[in-house]
Amino acid sequence: MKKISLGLLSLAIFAACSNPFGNDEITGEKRTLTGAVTISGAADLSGVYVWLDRINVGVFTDEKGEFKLTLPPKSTLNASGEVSGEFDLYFYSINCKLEIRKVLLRNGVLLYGEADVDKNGAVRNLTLIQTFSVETRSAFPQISPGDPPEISITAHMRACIDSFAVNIPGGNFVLLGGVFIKRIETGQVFMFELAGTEGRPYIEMLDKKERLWSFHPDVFDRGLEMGTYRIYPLVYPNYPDIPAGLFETLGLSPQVMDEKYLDLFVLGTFAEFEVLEDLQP
Amino acid sequence: MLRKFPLLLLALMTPALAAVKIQAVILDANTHREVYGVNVFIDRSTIGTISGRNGAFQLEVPADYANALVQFQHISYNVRRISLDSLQSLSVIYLVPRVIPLQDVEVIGKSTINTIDIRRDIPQSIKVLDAGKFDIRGYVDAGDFLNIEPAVQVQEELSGKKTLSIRGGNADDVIVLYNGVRMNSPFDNVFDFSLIDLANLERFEVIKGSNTSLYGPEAFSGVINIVPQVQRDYMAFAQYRMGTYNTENLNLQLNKSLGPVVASYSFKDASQVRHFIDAVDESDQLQNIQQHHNANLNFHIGPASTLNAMYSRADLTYDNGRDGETVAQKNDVASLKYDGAIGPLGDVNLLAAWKAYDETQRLNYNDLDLNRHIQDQSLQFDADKTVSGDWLDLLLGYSFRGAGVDFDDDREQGGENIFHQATKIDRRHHGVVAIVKTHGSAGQGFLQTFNIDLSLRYDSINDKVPEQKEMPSSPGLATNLTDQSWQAAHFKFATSLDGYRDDLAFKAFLNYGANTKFPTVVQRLSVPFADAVLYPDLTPERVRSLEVGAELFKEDRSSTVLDGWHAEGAVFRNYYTDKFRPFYTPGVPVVFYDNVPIADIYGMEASFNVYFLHKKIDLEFGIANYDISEKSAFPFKSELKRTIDLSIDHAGFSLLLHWFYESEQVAWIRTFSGPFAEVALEPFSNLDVHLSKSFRFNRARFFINISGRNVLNTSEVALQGLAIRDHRAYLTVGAQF
Repeated sequence: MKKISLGLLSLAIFAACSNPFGNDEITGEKRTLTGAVTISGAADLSGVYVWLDRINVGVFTDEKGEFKLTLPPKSTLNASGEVSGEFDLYFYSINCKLEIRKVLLRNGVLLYGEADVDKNGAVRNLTLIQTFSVETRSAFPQISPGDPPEISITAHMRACIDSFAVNIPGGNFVLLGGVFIKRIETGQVFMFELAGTEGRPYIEMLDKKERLWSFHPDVFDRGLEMGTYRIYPLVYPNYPDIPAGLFETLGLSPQVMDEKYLDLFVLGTFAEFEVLEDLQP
Repeated sequence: MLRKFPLLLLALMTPALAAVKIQAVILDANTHREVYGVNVFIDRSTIGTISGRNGAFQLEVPADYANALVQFQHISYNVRRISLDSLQSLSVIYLVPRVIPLQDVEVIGKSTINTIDIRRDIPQSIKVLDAGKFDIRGYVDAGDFLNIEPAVQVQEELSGKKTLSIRGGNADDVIVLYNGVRMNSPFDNVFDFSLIDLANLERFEVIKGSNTSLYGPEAFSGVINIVPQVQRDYMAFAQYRMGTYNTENLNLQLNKSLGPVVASYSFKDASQVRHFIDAVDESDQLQNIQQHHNANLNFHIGPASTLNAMYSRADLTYDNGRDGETVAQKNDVASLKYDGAIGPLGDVNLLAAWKAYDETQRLNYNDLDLNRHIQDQSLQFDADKTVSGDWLDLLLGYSFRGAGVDFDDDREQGGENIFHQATKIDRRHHGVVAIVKTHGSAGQGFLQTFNIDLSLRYDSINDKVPEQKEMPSSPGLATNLTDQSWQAAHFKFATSLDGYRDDLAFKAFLNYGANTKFPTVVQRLSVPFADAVLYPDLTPERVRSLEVGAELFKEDRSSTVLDGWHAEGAVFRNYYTDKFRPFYTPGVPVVFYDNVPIADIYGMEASFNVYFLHKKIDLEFGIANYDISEKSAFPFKSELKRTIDLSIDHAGFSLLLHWFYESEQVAWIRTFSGPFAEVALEPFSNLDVHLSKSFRFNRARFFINISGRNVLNTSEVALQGLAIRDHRAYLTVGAQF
């Protein structure tokens, strides 16, 4: 018996030299949601805004449509950190149908394998459907210093489903309220707004019939340099019930033009024009 | 051995017969643990003594008893008789454990055995878990150990915080006492069991159910009384543990007797470092550090009076490098306890205690800075006096708790203050209690006693709110606290029937009573869910409970293999009214709540033990099954837990295999659109293994333990607030002198 005891003791001493219980790794709390969106006809899937209601965290999908959304530490959620409940996970973009998935939290930590989240923390079935098509056209593919100061741009939209309401902030039934002109080479963005409209919402119900809006930006006034420019219209999907927190977290408001708008995913064809020589105001 | 007693032998050889002095150590035949409190006496005489905590005794036998038999008697062991002659050549005496506790053990010599404190309360089924069940088994803390009980569910957080619930209730439904001092936080009525150092304890007394009177009206699902070791007969003890997650744990204890005073000090230093599996750099880790100090002075004043002074301090820090979060906790407890006579008044218990808790949480995550500070201080004074008569005992008690809670939550985002909430609440709680216990006779046959016990308790609570501040002020959420008071009276009834004969013992009980839980500070900081503007104050929660149980011991004398068995079971119903249901919404500083008008929990608990080979083998089957009607008020509880424990003790070796099954944990989670969604966490089953060996060498005792949790294959490595479902292994070595 003594031999066994001594054997155990020497084993203990041996063990004391190096920790025999090597495993010290943990996965941590389940605070991350992953997933990938698929959108038919889109090559670059970046810019779908994935946002968790009330927790107010959001992230954009990458080019492959993948996202990884991490919840803040539970102690930040409220005074007790014990937030539990069912939360809505929004998938927001300009012209794909707003999708909402259900996510469950227990004491500030995600429950995998519940609601629309699988056992690995991935959100299932994320195929987004296009709601309306959008195309911009420019009457002046090339601009030289001698051209008229204002160029003519048109935006062509129609619903891809039976009908769909859009908000054209600051616009009206024929004019867009604003356009973004982005220089391809540098990524610099120029914003043009219809004067005096203050981004007032203008809601239009699109149907299968194509409609067009126009805009006449004074590109000379901004002193556009030589290069290639792409034209984007200012148009939002109209979801009256969308939580205000989504835009707050995104740092964007339909009423105020902001170049962050271009981070949002939009599926469309956007016209380009070329400035052949630096333009002077 | 003979060389140990040269003087004794000399004395025996002297023709003129002198008194014989015998001394030895009494050990359990299977576990080789020291047996404390054995009556050692000369047969048919009044000469005797009692074994100390190290199992040792010394007895001086007058010369005229030279041929006498010495009897060894203990409630849990078979009586052993050894002749004085043979005894002189023995340094160790082994006792074989019994199945049925021995009745009517008359204690000769000084009575130092601690009585079960909780027994003074109105009776119920008390589960006593003493050190033998945990001290060499390598449990890391009280939460780790208590989780083996079928009725208990432990929840562990990443920060190491372990909260515990009993019988399907919530963590704030359990009252925790340490040396009689109430440990539940006055802030939320929850206690973190990782604050308790196991190496320092004598036993846990667990009462399941809500039928206690002495400890306040808030014990909705149980009371756990943690009894520290106030007396040890060894000089020094050291223990070192290492294990999974870079666990390191060092315990030191020193102990010294100076006449009637026993002084002891213990220290624990523990740390743990965990790395995230996808760590980017070294800072992506979690670190937990704990330090515990405990000092005790136990003073025997006369034969039946004891004064105990205790100070205990625990410091815990948690550092999460990934989130930039640190939590520091300090818990100080000081108490002065007197049991005994005051002047002509005997059987008086007095306790004065001070407790201070301080928790600081800092978080620096992205551009958010969070500073949260909870500080509470409480004073407790308990006094009770028992008057014993032939057919009844009457206990009259008074208790006072004064607690001040200071809460401050301050948040900055991008350098700008976005939220600040600060509140102070002072609470005074007075309680008076009377407990009457009758001793009725049920006859001279097998059934012997029939008791009817009653208790009456009255509580009065007053809250004062000296200060509060809330920023930004939102309508309905700001400056909501007012001075408030509540009163409640409770009546309880219990009856029990006992039967006993040498090979069979039986006990049945029934109890009925009501309890009230007054809103805690956290609850008072919350607002009604339905209407945040109108402000009715919270209704205290109430529970009425009925419990019936029975216990049976049977000893088998005919078999050489089977020693006997023990079965116990209880059924209960807890009927709750106005159960508080919290709803924590993100971004909102306060907790919303509603009162669930009616909820109930039906339950059944049973265990069955079979003992073999002189209790070397103990096979236990346990089951706890509950039916919880309102899974939004009692969320994420396993309604079924089954356990099988096989413990084998032989020659100082100890093996415990603990298999358990916990059913799915179901909750109804509130959705923001109104209705509740049902969520279920998967059931879980696994095996824990504990293997130890203890041995003696001269006056020292050594032990070694290897233990593993969830040793069967499990994919879980994350701690997700579920009780400990990952692989863990520990090696512990210890020595005492």
